Amino acid sequence: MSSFTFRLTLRVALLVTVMTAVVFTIGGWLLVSQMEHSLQMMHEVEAKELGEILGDDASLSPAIVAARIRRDADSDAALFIIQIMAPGGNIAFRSENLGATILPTGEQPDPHWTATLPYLGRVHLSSFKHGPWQIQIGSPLAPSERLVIDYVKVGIMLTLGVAVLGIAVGYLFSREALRPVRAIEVAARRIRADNLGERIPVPAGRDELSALAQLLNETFDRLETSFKQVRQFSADASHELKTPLALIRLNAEKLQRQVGEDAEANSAIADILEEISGLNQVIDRLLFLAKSESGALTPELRPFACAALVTALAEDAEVLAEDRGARFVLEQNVPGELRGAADLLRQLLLNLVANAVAVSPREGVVTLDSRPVGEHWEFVVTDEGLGLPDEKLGRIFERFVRFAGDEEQTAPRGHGLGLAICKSIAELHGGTIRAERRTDRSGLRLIVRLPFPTL
Amino acid sequence: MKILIVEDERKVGRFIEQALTEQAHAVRLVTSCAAARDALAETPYNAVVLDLGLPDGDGLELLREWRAAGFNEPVLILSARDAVEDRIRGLNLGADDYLPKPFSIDELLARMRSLLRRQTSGPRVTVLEHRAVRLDLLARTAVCAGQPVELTSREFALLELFLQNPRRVLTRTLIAERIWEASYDLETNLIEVYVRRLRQKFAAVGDEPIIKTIRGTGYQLA
Repeated sequence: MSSFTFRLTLRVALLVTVMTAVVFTIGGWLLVSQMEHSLQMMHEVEAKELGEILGDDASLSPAIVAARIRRDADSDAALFIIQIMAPGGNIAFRSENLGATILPTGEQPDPHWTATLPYLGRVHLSSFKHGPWQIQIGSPLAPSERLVIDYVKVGIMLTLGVAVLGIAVGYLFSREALRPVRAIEVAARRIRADNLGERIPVPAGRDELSALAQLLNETFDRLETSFKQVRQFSADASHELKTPLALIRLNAEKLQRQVGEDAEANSAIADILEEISGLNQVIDRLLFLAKSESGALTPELRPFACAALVTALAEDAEVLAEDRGARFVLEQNVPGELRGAADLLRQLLLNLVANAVAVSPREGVVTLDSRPVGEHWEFVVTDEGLGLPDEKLGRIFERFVRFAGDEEQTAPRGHGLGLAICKSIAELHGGTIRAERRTDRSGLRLIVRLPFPTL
Repeated sequence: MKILIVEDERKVGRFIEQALTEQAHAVRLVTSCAAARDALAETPYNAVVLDLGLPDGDGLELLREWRAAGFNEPVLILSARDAVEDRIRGLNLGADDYLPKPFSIDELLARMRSLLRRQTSGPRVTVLEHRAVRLDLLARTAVCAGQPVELTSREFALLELFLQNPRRVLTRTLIAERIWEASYDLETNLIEVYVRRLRQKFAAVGDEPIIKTIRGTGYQLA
């Protein structure tokens, strides 16, 4: 699940859950206050009844009061805790369920309040004045509190249920909501440098999504134009530079035939011809880099057997190393199918090996490893040269970068573009290249990583 | 043979025209797509040298038209474009060879020769000989002055290429293309190194090394 779908799902689930919790809380609050209110109503009715039974004569003895209450009062008086006081603060009656407890008699600002009493626990009390009598009526809260606790339990369970349901609903919702966006994504993914002419189908209607699709299409338009410009530039530059070069070359060859045996003239012409082919190479490499870095180069990537390529390469690598008195060792050559432009990758590896050989001392060993590492395929080339300081390591892939020391190493007619090309070839394959110092001895390790298994 | 040159850069065209004329071909030079169409419509040519970047169109388009219309004679593409895709497209569209600019006129003549010869192909050669060197293409063995010489597959292929083109200067580009199938330049001194190895192995041939370096151009069998 992509993270946006995930976040949206969570948000929807959270919203639904919080709303349910709020509804249950409000319900609970209403329930509690409703229960309190009905208790108070019952207390009021009961007090009124008791007041009428006792009348206005405050001199009744407690025995008579008790007798009257027992005889006349409604039977559900037993449900309540009752305490009646005569004027002067003498207690005229206490219901039996009070036991030894005496209800607090002090003045209360409110006729209804809740108190915690010994033995009885929490009790909701009401106090009324009827004639000379101070009538206090109470109800233990335990039964209603049990009800509330049950309500809370059910509420929590339902809320949890809603939370689970909310995740499912949220997921479906976000999928549905993101469906058009996904369609745009799929279409946009299909458009690459090699089919930049394609466009995202714009959904009907004038909404946010069609605006997004249109915006993307405009971006692709601009991209396509700039790719075309790069390709056009490359073709123009190539034509404009190489046609005069061809002419110089043809003229030099014509001269060569005419000067005959003049050694000095022949050597000068040979110099011209050499410089022309060098210049031609630089043009080719620069144009390759320009196209590759702008994304205008789209080599066809095809599956190929990696081991066969490396084996063929090793033969050339051995020859190159032997020629300079160094040794080439193919350490690991794991078979596997890679996807890429085999000729470009061969050029990349040959370049790395040739560079490594060029900086090797006599008898130095250059190694090549080719193997899968996790989700990548790695080619590692090591040499036993002098290595480079850290600050130069990162820069060796820049164009025209050559470091002091190269001259002594008599690097063969380099223009400082080889490693830049290696880098762009690696990147054309969605891979990377980096250089690091060897830890076991002096020298460099160059590591090319390509995606593997390739999709 | 009648050869048509389609090249918009007149000076380059003149060079080719002159060189091919010296080889006793009947040559006509045109500088645009339109002129090329007319020329081919009125005269049957045996071969065409075709530049890709023309002022009034793309040479590849022209090639496609001709091949679609049943023109089967060899076409050598000449182009300043470096793109491999162009080269591949050109060959896919039915070009017989592809020569990038700047080229050596000898290279162009050699390729033209081999294109024209391909049409009148003689018996297949299985043994190549040059001075004291004898190369058996079937047994893949090399003998120098009666002594067998051990060659790796690359060395054998390279020597074979030289023996097949005894008088011709082979450019680095051509060698890289034929032996390493490299569509980009090899960026290394690999070819030099192989040539040096061949020279060492065939040191017994004579006073001169078996392969000469032609500075600024390439190599040639001595």
